[in-house]
Amino acid sequence: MKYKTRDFGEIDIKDSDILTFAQPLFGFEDYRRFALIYNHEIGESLVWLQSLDDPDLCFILFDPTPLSSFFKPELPHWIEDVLGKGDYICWVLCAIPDDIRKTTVNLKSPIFINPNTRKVAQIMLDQNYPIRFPLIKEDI
Amino acid sequence: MLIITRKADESIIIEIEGGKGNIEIKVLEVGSQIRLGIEAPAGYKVWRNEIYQNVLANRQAANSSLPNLLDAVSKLSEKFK
Repeated sequence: MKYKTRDFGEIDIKDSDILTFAQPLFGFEDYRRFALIYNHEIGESLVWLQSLDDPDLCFILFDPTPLSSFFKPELPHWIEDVLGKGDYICWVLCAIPDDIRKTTVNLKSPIFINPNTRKVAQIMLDQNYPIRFPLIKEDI
Repeated sequence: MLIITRKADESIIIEIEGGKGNIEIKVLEVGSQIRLGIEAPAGYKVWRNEIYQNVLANRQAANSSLPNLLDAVSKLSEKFK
């Protein structure tokens, strides 16, 4: 089915690619259906999380693997109840201001996706990670 | 900061100017934790502060829509290839 997106015009998204927030993004409780949009020029370290209910609502997610020396999210024991059994893919939300050197990511409350059930949750970790962690250390 | 001492079952009222209603915060239970009951008129959302900090961060993330966003994301991705 075709969906309008904020940054890529109208694109085709298969039903099997639709993600449903079982536990919504904080402050966005009315928005449940999203899809990940990859841009081939950009690769897979950053991805668009596009709302399928509101074309203007879109987030940029970052794959936190490069931060794994210190960022080791511990999943709450109840995550299976929310997302179903299986493996979970972790993303973090980016806030990209006009000056992109000031880009931050929210390490306190990552997004977890179960690719089997296509259920998603934003989960506030018990660990003491920052909500606004600077992604860039030097000038780019 | 205004500091008020209250017992269980006592409450405070926050009056919103302009006749927009009042917010009542009632202490339900006191112990190592306290339980609060909050009544607010429509249009007021009540958050746990630590959740609210994430709400603010999410709103900020949702507003990351620069005219040159694609270029910005591309530059960011270069850092992590």
